[in-house]
Amino acid sequence: MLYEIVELQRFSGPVCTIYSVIPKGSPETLLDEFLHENSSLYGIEVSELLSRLEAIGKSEGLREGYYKSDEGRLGDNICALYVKPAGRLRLYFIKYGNDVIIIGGGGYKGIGVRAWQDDPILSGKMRQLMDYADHIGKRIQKGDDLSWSSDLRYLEGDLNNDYDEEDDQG
Amino acid sequence: MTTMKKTTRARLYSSPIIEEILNSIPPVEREKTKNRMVIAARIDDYMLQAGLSKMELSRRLNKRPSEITRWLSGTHNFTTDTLTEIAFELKVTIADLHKSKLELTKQREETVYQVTNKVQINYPITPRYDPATMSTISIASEPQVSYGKQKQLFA
Repeated sequence: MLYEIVELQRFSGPVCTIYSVIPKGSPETLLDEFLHENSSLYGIEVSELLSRLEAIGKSEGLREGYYKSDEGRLGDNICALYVKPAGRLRLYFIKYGNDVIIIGGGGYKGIGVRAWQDDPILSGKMRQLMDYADHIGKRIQKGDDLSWSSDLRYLEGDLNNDYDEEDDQG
Repeated sequence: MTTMKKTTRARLYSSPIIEEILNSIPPVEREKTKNRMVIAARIDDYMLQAGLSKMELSRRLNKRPSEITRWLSGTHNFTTDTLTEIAFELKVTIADLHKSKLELTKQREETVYQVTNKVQINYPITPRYDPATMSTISIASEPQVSYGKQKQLFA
């Protein structure tokens, strides 16, 4: 699994470090994809989401009330940002404490859709982020090429991950 | 074999679409969003400080718990009356609910600095005896009293 983890300059700040992922071969991050897919249809909600991300990174950090927790599998720390409690737009992210998040994709949770499993687009985005959460988590746990900085605020190591286990085994 | 790779931090990234959307948001709208999130964070902090759960605060304010959850989401547009009720119950001022995390940190640092300097400079309490710097001061000597006038009075 090849990808680069990048720090989102416009959102990351002194109280929360905000990353996203560029899959290998893609010119843009998962957040950019989300914006391309949703900004024309849900412009106001997307703008509000970005303003919230900016406030999380630069002013208040990640607070429990700001997001819906445990959206993915148990223990993978995937949560969802939303604009209003009753709003339908979801932006998924991996949460590491209250200081670091990695933004993934998301989409519109249509009326009648109770869970992401019921919607093919949301399912695709969620499963994609689950794969990244799993891979990044294992790399951090292993500690060979990815680890936390001493203040636990930054990821350090091979962020432009051009190393693949499958290549190594071959 | 697994080998140690580069030990760098992530590169800083932005993109045309992020810039385009952020630049299209009027600054006042961004400020409104930020303020709603700041107020939510402070209510959360002061609830914790006062030892109040969501359930207890909702009971005291005669609101449903779901309303407190909405307040803490950082999406709620508060009225002054609601803020007054909340501040009153949490024993803070409305102004306290508007202070950002960074402002509070700065304020705390300034307070610590002032207190530290006061102790060092003004000696609000009796200073500890330090022979190195206070060798000329005798802290246990007899007070020098003249009895001359008293003697004259009784003479």
